[in-house]
Order: sequence, then C-alpha cells, then structure tokens
Amino acid sequence: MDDGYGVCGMGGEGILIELRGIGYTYPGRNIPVLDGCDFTLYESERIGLIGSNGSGKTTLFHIMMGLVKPAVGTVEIFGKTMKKEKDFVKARQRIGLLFQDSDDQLFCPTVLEDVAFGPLNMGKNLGEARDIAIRTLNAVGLSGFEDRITTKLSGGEKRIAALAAVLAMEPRVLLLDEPTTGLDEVTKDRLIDILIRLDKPMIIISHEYDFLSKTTKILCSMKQGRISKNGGVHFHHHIHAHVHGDDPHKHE
Amino acid sequence: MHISEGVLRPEILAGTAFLTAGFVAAGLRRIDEKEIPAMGILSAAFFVASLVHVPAGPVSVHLVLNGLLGIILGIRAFPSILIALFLQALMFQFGGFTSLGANTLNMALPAFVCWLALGWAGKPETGSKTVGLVGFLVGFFSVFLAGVMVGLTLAMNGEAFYPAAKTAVLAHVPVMFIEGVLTSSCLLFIRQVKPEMLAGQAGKKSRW
Amino acid sequence: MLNEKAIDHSSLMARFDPRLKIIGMVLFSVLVAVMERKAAIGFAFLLSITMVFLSGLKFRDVVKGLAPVNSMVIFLWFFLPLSVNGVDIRILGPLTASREGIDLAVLITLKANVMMLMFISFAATTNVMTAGQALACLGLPSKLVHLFFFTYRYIFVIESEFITLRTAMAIRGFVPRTSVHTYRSYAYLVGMLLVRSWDRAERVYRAMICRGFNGTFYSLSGFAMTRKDGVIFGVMCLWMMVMGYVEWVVKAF
Repeated sequence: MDDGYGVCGMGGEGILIELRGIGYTYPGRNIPVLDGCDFTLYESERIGLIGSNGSGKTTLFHIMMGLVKPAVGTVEIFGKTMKKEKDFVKARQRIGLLFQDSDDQLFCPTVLEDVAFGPLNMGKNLGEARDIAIRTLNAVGLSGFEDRITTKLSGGEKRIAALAAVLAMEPRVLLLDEPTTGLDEVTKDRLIDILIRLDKPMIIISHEYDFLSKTTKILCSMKQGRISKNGGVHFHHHIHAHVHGDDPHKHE
Repeated sequence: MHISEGVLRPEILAGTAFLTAGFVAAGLRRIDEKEIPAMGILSAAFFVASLVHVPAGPVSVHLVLNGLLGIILGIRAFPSILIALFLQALMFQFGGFTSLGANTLNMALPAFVCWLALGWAGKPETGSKTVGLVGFLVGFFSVFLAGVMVGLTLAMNGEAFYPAAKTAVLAHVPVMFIEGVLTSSCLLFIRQVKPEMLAGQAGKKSRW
Repeated sequence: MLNEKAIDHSSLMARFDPRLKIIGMVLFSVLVAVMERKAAIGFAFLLSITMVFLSGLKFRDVVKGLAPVNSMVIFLWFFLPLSVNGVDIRILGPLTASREGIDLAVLITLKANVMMLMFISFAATTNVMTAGQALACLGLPSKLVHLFFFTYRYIFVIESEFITLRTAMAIRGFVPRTSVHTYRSYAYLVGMLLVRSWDRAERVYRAMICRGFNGTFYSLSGFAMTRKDGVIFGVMCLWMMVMGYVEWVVKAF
C-alpha cells in the first residue's frame, strides 16, 4: 500500500522546511532562546520535538509560520526563501499550525463556521467551504457537531475541532504544538488515531514520549537554543519507505 | 449607574444617541480591521471586570473601570463600551435599548476626557510615582464625571428630577475613591508587567 | 458564574425571523419612549405581554428580567412624588405627595416595564450570536459587528480565568474587606486579567493569520424569511398603529 511515505528526499529535493542559523531573543531578556538553530523537515518525515519548558519550541513554530521574526538566520519553505510577510501569507496556507490552547484558535460561534473559516479565506465559495468543513468534520469523527457552539464544547472536543479547522485548509505539513495537553486518555487515543491515519509530514511538540512514539518516527530534542536530531531516542532508524503507516505498531 | 428604559424624555434620548453615534463612528475609524480581535478581547475583559464586586463598608459596589479602559483605548473606548453595555442589556437586562445612547455617553465620554488629559502618562519614560498619581486621578475623575453625567442627564429631564439627580451623583462618591485606588495600582501593575499595553495609546499606534 | 441562556427553540418568538424581531422591538421601544398617555401605554402593554407569552418564558424569569429596570424605578419613586409641584394629597399622617408627582412616577413605571417586557421577549428568544448576525444584515457597521462577536466570544473564556485567579487568591487566605490591601489585590487581579487577555489577543490573532485571515470576514449563514414572519411583523405594526392612534388622535387619558 502506498501511504505516501515512499519519497524520502535527501538533498535539495523534498525539503519542506529548512531553518538555517536562526537566532532569537525574547524581548526584555538577555540570553537568546534560539542560538544558531538549524533544522530541516523532509517530505514524509514525522518528527517529535521535545525540550524543557521555555526552550523555544513554540517560538520555533512561530518562526516557521512567519509570526515571529528571527533576529538572524533564514527560513526556507518549500524551497523558497521567506523574506517578507507576503511570502509567508502564501506559505501559511500550506502549513497547518495547531495551537496549544484551542480557545485561541476557535473563535466562530459554531463549529461549522470555524472549520470553514480557513477555506473561505483561501477564496473558496460558500458552498465549497461548507462541503470541505463537513467532510473534514466527518474525517475526524465530529459529524453532527456542525451547529454546536464552540464555547460549549468539552476540552477534548475543542482540540479535535481546532485540528479539523487546520486540516480543512488541506495543508501539506502539520505543526502541532503540545496537542495532548489537558486531554484525557480516550481523547488522546482518538487524536493518535487521527494523526496516524493522516498522510502528511508533521512536527509534533510534546512532553509525552508515549504519544510521540505512536505518532512520529524521529525524535528531536531542543537544548541550548539548538535542535539535535540524534540527541534523543530514535523510535525508528530509517526515515523512508514505511509500509505500516496505517496501523499503529511498535519497533522495540 | 445604568439609566433604564422609559425614564428619559425622547429629545434627551435622541440627543445622546446622536452624540454617541458620532463618537462611536470616530472610534471605529481609528480601529483597523486587524485590531478587532484584540479590541474585542479587551472589551470582554472589561465586561468581566465590571462584574467584580468589591466591599465598600457595609455594602459592595461593582467596579466601573471606564477610566482604565479610556487610558488604554482612547476614543476607541466608545465602541468598546457601547458593545459591553449592549451585551449587558441582552444578558442581564441592565439599562435597555432606548437608553443605550445615554448610558454609553455617560460612561465613555469621561473615559475619553481622562485620556485626553492624562493619556500622556502611558509613555514608558513616565516615572512610577507619576503613573500612580495619574492612575488615581483617572479612576477618581472617570467615575466622578460619569456620576455628573448621569446627574445631568436626569436633571435635563425636568426640575422634578433634580433631587434624584443629586442623589445619583452622591452615590458615586464612595466608588470614586475605590476606583482611584484601584486604577492607580492597576496602572502600576500593567506598567511593570506589560508596558506596551499603555505605550500603544500614549504613543501613536498600537501593536496591532 | 456567567451562563449562556438556553434558548427554547419551540416558541413562536424563537422562530420569528431575528431581523424582523429587532426591527419590531426597536420601533416599539421608540414609540413607547415618546408616548405620554396611559391608555396608549396600556395598548402597548397588551402587545408586549403577548410577545412575552409567545416566547414561552417562565413567570419567574420574566420577573427576574424586570428587576434591574425596577430598581431604578423604585429609586425614582423616592423623589418624584415629593419633588413635583401640584395638588397635595395626604398619604400617611403628615406625609403628603403631589398628584402630578405620583402621575409622573406611574407613567415612568409603566413605560419602563412595558418596554422591558418587549426587550425580554427579544433577548430571551434570540441567541446573542444570531442577534449579531441579524444586526449585520440590518446594516450595522461591520467593524462594530465583529467587535460584538469577539467581545461575546471571549467573555466566557476570560470569566473562567477570573474565577481561577480568584480561587487561587482565596486558597491563600484572601478575604475581601474594606481595606487598601483588598483594593490593591483586586487591582492586581484586574491587571492580571487584562494582561492575560492582551496576550491571548495576540495568540488569537496569530491563529487567525495562520488560517489565512486578511481582515475580511465571510459568513456562512443566512436568514430565510417566511410568510409567517411577515404575518407576525404585520400584526405588530398594525397594533403599533393602534397605539399611535390612541396616543395622538383619540388622546384618551
């Protein structure tokens, strides 16, 4: 079964996101949180990113999305160097970022409207946006939630709805910022199930090894403002052709 | 104090609604579409804060905080207060629909005046003692002026309303001092923790 | 704790087109605001109480909804009977009040309650978000509508943050008193609420940018007017004409 993991580009091709020499210091602080940070995400890679609180993981995501401007370094997305806000506007439509707090992400009155927000911004007409939203909600197991009020959802439902809102834009890459925070075991399993079935490269920030081992294949850790790909545990030694992509399994 | 439906004469309702509409339009012109999420969240914070009751001797009073809102938002406090009051009417039946113009004017005009007079204190180079003093004055006068406005609105309704108007102004007196102390500490807190919140208005343009 | 009111969608008023409901409520409120004759206000009362009846509200909720308005009305009752010059009538012992003063207080009481009844029938049967959408349809400036949506959306989030903070204070032994310490603590509570909201506003804006937000909002929903809506609205308008007729043509009471 071709699950999309076949292509493993080394070299210039197949690089989705590339950060080079990124440096960033929080306003009002002296020590940089990111210091000469290099990072590459290849096509078909699923990376788990760990690191202590305040080590700059979220900032890294925000730099990739152009929400935060690094002091030094270059950001390349889909082979293109990002220089201005304009470059990022296009790139953002193809990278989906799930925020830590779903209350930051869901702002429309109903779930359907929220999920349709992205597609509408991308220029889809009302009918198309509606269809995409309904299809996406079905895919994440939230069918029937269309008219539910976003504020009245449970924490777990909010997270899944926020994920649906990101997926509705059909991004090529997913960035998930601590997606399991505050979730119970049942919702966590549901999330794992959805992520495993997704046929997309992704980077997941999490403190939970167990969750990362089920959803990603490479573990990276963040220390002293840099990312080391070999610094942590490898769930998996090869990052190419993986034929078991659809069913959860372990490599001991 | 919310003036309720059915009290004010039609010409006062029309006049205050007209003035409020003008100020709200001016405020909206100064809001960029992209700032609206931030503005809304701040309005929501004020809505919630104004539900907070603090003890004042044997009774408790709820916070007004229009002065603080004015210092942060300037003329944009008008649309913000209008929305907050409309939501209070919808959710708790405070005030009402026809008196919305009068109530918004009574709360927002003092906030705007305080910003005109004292908004400069939001600049980062202002010393903490000055900010503390300005905070007290902002809290004190925004409530004092709001009380005077409520009194005037009632008094314009006719001579028969003079005693009620005077009492309404007097009822604001204890709240003035509490708001003064509170706004002073609150402004100092924001200056220390998140100075850019104040610099936005005192400077030219906010972050968003 | 704030609660979003559950709307009973089975009532006639709840299914009434929100745009027409708002227009009707506004026309009615303005009309009653300019009326001065008790007979006409009596006719207005019949319309507003009918609307409340069609809203399927519990008696207790209606009384609760009328309470804020009547606190102001009661406040005025303390002054108006004494402060209006006119024919004195004895109430109790040496206490006298003017007939004109009582008349004025009665008029205000009637107007306030009649208008509030109509407002309640609107507020209790219309989802706040729906009301916002209807106002947008009626030509309210889009910036104001969006401000309305965001304010309402985050009231609940911020209120739960407020409760968390207050609980945290209570756990550390904070008891509100009339003291500077209390006011300063509340000031920090409010300051923290604002600062957190400020940070949240930034995160929300970033999340919206990530989903392609460029300053324009698109809406999925539309309203559909039915013949029944037209009939209800027509009856309201007719009745308001009757009210106007009693006020300005018949000039009764």
